[in-house]
Amino acid sequence: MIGYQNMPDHNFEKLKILIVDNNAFVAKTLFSVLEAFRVNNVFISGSLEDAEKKMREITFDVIFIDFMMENKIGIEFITKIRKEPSQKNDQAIPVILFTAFTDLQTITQARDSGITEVISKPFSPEHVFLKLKSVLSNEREFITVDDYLGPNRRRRQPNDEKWNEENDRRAR
Amino acid sequence: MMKSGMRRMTVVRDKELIINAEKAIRLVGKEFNGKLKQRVLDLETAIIKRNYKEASRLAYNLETEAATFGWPRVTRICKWLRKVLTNEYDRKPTEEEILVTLNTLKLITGEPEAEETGRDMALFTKLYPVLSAVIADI
Repeated sequence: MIGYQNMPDHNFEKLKILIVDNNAFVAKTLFSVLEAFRVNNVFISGSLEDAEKKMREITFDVIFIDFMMENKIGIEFITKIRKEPSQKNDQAIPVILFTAFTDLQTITQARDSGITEVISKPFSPEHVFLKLKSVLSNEREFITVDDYLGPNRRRRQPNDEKWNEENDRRAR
Repeated sequence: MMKSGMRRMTVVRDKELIINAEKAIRLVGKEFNGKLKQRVLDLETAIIKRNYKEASRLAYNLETEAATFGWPRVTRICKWLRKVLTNEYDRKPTEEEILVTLNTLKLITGEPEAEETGRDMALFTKLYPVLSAVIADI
């Protein structure tokens, strides 16, 4: 693992990414997108069982998971990652949930399970790129309280890159 | 000045990565188009066999993939079917409505390589009287 904080600027080459989706076509599409971003190590799991196995063997930098995995238990899997860290993957690993359900209830449920980011389907390459960059460069404080384990749900900082002279709104 | 130059280089590289990814999606899209007809038939078969669990899974998969590859109306119809199959609507549609919806889906996806412009809009207009309740739900 190259570490989320010390990653060279947008250099995705050394990242290890796990895609967990039982829809082979969506997984393949996301794989192609990540490959085009020059991520050299993308792994696909078609079941939660296989994902757990891979997580015991490999240290990942980011996990993409579909909400609908095996009767909507993708969410439970995220809770498990947060509660039961393995030797290879710590509980703060960034998890990006992708889902076609963008209703308030689903998003709230996802947020409370400890996801780092949500990507709504259908996704565009630009959307994936921005979310990937966001989880890698904008690490939020990890919260451990009785009923919640996961990144701080209050976003004190926007997802955009840090301020610089080119994006300073006062210069517009 | 130097920082600004480096930043511009990063922006250019980011754009290049996104363009590459869009090309990659177009390639996968061709494969999707080639399988679309069969997948709609699989969905129809599952509904006819009353295997609603499988049918809702197939509808969800098509719903989420279709828009990525330039089939927004297929996405909308499959979303409606998925909601029907998982009893998310208060009004239960008639079997005829479901049949007409499936036929519309088959017509829309009949020529996957045809231009998108107007391809399915004409069908929507033609079928609107029968599909009006469905379209209202969508």
